[in-house]
Amino acid sequence: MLLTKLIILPLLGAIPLFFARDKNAREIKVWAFVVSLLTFIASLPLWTYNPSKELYQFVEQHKWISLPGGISINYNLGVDGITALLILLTTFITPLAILGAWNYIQDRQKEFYICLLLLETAMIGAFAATDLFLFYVFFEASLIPMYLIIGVWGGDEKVYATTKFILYTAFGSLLMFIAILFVYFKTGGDSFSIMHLTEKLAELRKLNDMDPAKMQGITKAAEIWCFWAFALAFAIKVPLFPVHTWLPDAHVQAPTPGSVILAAILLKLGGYGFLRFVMPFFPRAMEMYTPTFMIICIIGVIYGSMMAFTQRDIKKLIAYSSVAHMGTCMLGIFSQNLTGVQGGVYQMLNHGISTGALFLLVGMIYERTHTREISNYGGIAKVIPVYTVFFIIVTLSSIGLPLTNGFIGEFTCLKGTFDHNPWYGFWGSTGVVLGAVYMLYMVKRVFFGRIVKDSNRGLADLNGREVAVLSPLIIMIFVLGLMPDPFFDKMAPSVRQLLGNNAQPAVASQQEEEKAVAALAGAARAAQPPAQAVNAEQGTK
Amino acid sequence: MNELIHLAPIGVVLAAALVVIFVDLVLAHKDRYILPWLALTGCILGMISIFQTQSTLMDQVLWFFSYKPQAVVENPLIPGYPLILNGAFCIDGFGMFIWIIACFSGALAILASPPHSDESALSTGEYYGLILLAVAGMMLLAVSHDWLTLLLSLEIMSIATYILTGSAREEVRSNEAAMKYLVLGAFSTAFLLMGIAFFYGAFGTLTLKPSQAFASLPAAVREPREFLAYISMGFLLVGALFKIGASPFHFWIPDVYQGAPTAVTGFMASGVKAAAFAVLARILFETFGAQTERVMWIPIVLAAAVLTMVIGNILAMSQSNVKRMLAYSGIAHTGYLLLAFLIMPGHNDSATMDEHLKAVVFYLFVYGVMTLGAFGVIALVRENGKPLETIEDYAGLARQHPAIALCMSIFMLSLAGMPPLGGFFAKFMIFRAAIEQGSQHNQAGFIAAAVIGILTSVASLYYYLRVIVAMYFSPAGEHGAEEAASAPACRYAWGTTMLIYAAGVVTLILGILPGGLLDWLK
Repeated sequence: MLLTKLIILPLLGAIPLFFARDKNAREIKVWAFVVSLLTFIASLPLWTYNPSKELYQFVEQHKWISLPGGISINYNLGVDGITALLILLTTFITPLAILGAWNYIQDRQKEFYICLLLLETAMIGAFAATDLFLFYVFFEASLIPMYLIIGVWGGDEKVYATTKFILYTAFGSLLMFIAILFVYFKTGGDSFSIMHLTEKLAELRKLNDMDPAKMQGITKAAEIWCFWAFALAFAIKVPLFPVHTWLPDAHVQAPTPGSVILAAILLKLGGYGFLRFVMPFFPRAMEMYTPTFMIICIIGVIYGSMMAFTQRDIKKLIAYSSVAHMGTCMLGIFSQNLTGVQGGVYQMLNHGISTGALFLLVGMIYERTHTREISNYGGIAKVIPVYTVFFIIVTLSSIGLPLTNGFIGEFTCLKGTFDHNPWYGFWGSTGVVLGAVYMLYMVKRVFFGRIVKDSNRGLADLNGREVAVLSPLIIMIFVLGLMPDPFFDKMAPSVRQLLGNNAQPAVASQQEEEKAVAALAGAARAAQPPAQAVNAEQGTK
Repeated sequence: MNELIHLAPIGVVLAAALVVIFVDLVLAHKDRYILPWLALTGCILGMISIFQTQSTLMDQVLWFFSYKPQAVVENPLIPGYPLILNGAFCIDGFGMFIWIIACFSGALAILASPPHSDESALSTGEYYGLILLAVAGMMLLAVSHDWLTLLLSLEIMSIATYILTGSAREEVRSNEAAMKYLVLGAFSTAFLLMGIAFFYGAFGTLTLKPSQAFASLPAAVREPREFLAYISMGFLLVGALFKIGASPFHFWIPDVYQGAPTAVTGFMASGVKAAAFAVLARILFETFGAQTERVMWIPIVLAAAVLTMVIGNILAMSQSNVKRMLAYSGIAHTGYLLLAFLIMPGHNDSATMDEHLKAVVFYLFVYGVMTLGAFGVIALVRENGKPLETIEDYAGLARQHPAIALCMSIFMLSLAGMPPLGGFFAKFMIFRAAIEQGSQHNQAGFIAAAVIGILTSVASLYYYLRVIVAMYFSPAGEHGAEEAASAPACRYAWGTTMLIYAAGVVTLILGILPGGLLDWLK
């Protein structure tokens, strides 16, 4: 019942808000925060996911809908090592997003928190569903609250941004819906269960291989079409180049909590989708198009970095950096070996934490100055030192300095990519360098040098609430940076299971790779002392 | 007499129509507010009597509410159901469900009608009487099993609807719409009649399902008649496509929907359309349901479906009037519904037909609820007694009437087919029907049609969202939207508001638990 509880809790929490009065703004905020915090506490038992036992744990199975023609759709929930971590990320980020934007939303507050809680329900549901149809329902249901969050509480161009957001994502997911139905009926129309579909599709492929002329099983052409329908939906969500253009607009226009959740969690649905559906369902098509996707990711990394470098708006810069970082993350996933995929998942967690923190930080300074133009800042490190320290720690995590989470994630992703093909690895790793360039260049312009604007001299530093919001994120940055083992352990069997469905023999030397991961973690630990020194030095400047 | 008991619900509705008209004559002017309640009671009694008299058949109606994964439901269009009055009517589960939709949409349309205090022609006894007559016509139409009864019931329904369309006598648009509707409706009936004439020529009978005797005729006799049969099929198809408003026969819909009083528009979009689809279903699956005949009409219906989806959605995108937009969206939904009629001849035809019919009926029900809800909102939103109909007029509605705006958003998103709302499941069932057929018979055309349907429904998201954008994202314009609920005489607007809430809740429930509703009621 744990997962149902997690799904229901924010939903139940949203109901009293419908009847709240607008003037009780403070109570509404406190209530929303408490509900999301309780959800987080309730989700903590997910950490007890035991990787050495069965793959799916916390399983729940109920009948949901049975339609004429024997279609039965089940309410099946369960988590494997990957989704347990992603759900924990969701429940961890949401209360922080609420607390972090305490004063950001001034208008129609109760509706805002209703949307936020409904969004949390949809996201947890999407990660927890083990029934493809149920997943789709939650996946789509998450669009509507996000659409409203950007559209009602967004910036000046909100209508354009939010319409673009929903049209892009709905386009992809509706095409996927056709493919879902096609796959369902091709596999005999028994069940939408993900495991069942994966097995059946493998059988159908074999059937087709035996005698393609008979038109039994699933033809190669049909497989490729379905593959693209699924891949497009998730590529838009990630987002991969060239379907990423909705993201910068959505991020810039969204209110801070919206950006945080969009970057930290919603984008992960894309990566998760590739991992859970695209690769196991259509391994042959995936193998065929792996080079394409690798190149797309590399273009995304380089293009995103270059775009980020030229931005004048801090938020837009971070949005483009998201494109680049998710590119690295997807490189790991597309490399389809244990190291790479584990790194990809790890990088999803990292990106959620670091980019979430960056958006929160930008929101905090925006509340004070109402501008996000880099040129309006400069030299503010002297005025708001605490803020600067936090910002720089998060920046360093984002560019992957050893000791922080970003290092482990990027390194494992790129290690996997190198194992797959050194050339992809080479081009992918340019992202690490470029990331350092644009992030540090931005930090230099915003925080160091002369104070450009006199109005910035009176900036207030972080207050207690803001420190309380950022501290858990900073702690997680270091926890993930120093002790990656428990996380890798949790996800390893699940990743192996996903790869096991894959035709590629790249996982022959699993144990070796595990050793490599362990060695890597050791390396990170070894790198601690100097890194800490650098960190401290930069922080006090 | 025993046979007539099956038609008792129709009798109830007809009696209610007469009662309303006569009571109107003896009522003092100030007491007229009871008329709509009388009419509403008529609809509700009609619905109750369906459940009462057809209790054995109710199992058929409960098909999509059963939790049994393989509920064995016989094909309602197959004999074994009471053919009564010498085959004039066939009382089957499909017809029953159309009855329920008809009563339901009648009731909701009565609730959406303007208040008694409006002093317009719309609040008189004839108006409500005509709605009930139209409901009775639909109910007759849904179970007609003979071309003559079908034609007569079609006319009962249509003539009542023509008058209702023009019932806002002082409005030029309403008169124009009624005239257009009358002329084009008569035109389409002429096609239908021509088809019936050819049909009689070919088969020598007026029953909807000519007996197997035709197939056993010697080839020399049969073949020239087969040609007649195909001509008749063409005419009947044109007539039916006209009535449901499929492209290329959709031109009357936008003008009529826009011109008619809003409650009547909602009634047409839900009830009349459902009844017209009943006719189409009987023509396609019953009269011309044999394999050889099906092969003839599948390309026609496929082409009409694709054309209708594309034209409806594209034209809806450029509309600024909400009613007109919903009219085009109604055309688009007709296109989606047509997809469900595509069944390749295969091994288990009657079971598949049955399933697809269920998808159609479910869609019609959900679509009826959401559209009537949306038209209810349009009927309610007015300023100084004048209806506001452009999308910009809805600016700021969310601030002044959050609950109404929320319901309107639910209707819009549901019409667009977003989960977890009723419209999503309706669309799901239709598309799955097309894809199942396509994937089992390797018909790329069916899959392509489904893909086009999905792509056009992404486009539809754009125009449905425009309403939400106006309601939520833009500040109140110079005329902030006012609704009649805050006007003094709110007795009726109260009814409309209830209708909107009820439709909103039903849409939501049908999305989350499309299966469990009636199972629980049982």
